[in-house]
Amino acid sequence: MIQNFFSGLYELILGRPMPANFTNDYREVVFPNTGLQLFLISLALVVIYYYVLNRMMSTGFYKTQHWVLFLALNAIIAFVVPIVQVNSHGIDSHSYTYMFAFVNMIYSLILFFVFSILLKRGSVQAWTTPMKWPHKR
Amino acid sequence: MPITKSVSGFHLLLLCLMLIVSGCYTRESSGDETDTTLTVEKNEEKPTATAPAESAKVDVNLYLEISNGMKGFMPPAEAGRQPTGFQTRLNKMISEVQDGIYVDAKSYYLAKQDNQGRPVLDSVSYNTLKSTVVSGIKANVLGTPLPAMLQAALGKSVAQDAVSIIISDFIHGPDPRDQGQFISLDSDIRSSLKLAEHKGLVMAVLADASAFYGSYYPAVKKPAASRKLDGEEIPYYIWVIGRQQDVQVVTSKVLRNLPAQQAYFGFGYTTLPYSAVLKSKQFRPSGVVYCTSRTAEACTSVNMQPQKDEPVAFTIGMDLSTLPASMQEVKYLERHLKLAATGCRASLGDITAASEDTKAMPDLASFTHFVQVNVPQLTASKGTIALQLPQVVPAWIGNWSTENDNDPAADPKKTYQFNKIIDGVQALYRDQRKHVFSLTMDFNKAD
Repeated sequence: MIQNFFSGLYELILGRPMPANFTNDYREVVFPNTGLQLFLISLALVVIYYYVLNRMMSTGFYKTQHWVLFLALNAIIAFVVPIVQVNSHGIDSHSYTYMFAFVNMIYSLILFFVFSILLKRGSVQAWTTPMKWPHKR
Repeated sequence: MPITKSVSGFHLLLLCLMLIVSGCYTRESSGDETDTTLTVEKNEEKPTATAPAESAKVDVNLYLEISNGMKGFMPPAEAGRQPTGFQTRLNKMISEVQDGIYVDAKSYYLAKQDNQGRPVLDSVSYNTLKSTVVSGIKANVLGTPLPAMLQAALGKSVAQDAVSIIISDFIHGPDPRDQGQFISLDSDIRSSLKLAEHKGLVMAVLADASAFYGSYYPAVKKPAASRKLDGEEIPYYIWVIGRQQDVQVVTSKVLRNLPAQQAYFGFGYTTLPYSAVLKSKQFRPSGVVYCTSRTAEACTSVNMQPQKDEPVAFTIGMDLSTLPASMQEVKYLERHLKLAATGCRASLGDITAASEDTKAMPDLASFTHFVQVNVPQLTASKGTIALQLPQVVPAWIGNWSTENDNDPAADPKKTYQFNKIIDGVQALYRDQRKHVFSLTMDFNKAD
């Protein structure tokens, strides 16, 4: 179920895994692992930004540029994770690997943004970062 | 107070996250887990793999025909003359039978006939046999009633549960009062060996030619009833009859250095190790093809989808080390290996034997041969590709047969109606399995 979800998510844009003889490794291991890590790491960074740095502590990292810093950090992690996954499973290197890493990075930007919109309301100092919408308060 | 509450709440959240993330990492290591189970399985396999080696000892009954016609193969030693090929080979063979580690009990027999034309099997010691081979036959024995001799020898071996090694020139010399035997040679051979069929025994026929010194008695008595030969090449045969694994031990471990002319009857293998080789750098597949199971040790089912501009080609590794020697030759396989496919169009590509490179790779080391399979098109969403080696009678049998063996100098290395003798042997196994082996690779259309 989760396998199919993540395989579908990546193959929607990337197409069939290449080299094709490693299709199973991508579908059964690399896609689900990368997808799960993408969700959890993005969520964790959003939580750290809004709830740790800008609620429990008052660190002053509430500006949009700090938010962008975290967005970029998340994107870098999202680019590295697929490459590590592919290499650690003995899959032959292919341009597909880097396309996959790139797509995962784009997904991380979207996810980080979505999680920010959903969770920023609970933050004390940063509820208007990166912008006020959709909250009015 | 509310602050500590939120802190402990956050700790809880962090703990949950860490648990989930670490859970994710254990998922990732699931590949390692299967690896460890694989090594466990391999360790378990090892004892079973060594077990046959211990039980690979066989009992051997060796029969040497000593009619007058065989004398020329075993001329008495003489200074300045090389031993004949027959003597060299026989010497090696009997010493391997006597002293080798693969033979348990051994008995030696000199096969001849009594005055009534009935076969007699004289049990002799190793030394007697050896001196017969090196210094010749003293007795005067006329002709060989071939079927009767085979029947007697086989009956004795079956009773003793031993492998028969029969060495003869296989020139049929029936009793002069019963020349009709020439006509029914094939069916006589068949009935004389029917015990082999009933007991499920297989047969290896090895042929070689050796220099011949002395009187040669052809089956066809015109124009000359016998000829004096001085070093012409005359064929002789070594027949090995027994259970498949025993015959295999005798041909590969005891006889060694087999002559090029080999024929095998009744051999069949239901389980041979094989696997699609999809992730090796030596045999990179092309097109969309991958193993149906990610963790299977041997991949016997693949998913594939050939495209118009990108047909599928992949390699199947096989372990044919238990097959008779001549069947392991790449040339033999290239000529005889067939591919039977359902649900796709498929053809055989290159066949290669294992090399130093493949033996160095752990996942390829167990295979002796690699066959490329090309699949340009599927015609159904699932089907099978089977590699089959049919039972074939080798071409040399026809070349070593003749209808007139009277003048071996003009027409060397031929035995009278040898093909008819082999016809009789073949008739034993006609209704048995059609293939020496058939390895089936299932496939599904890749999604």
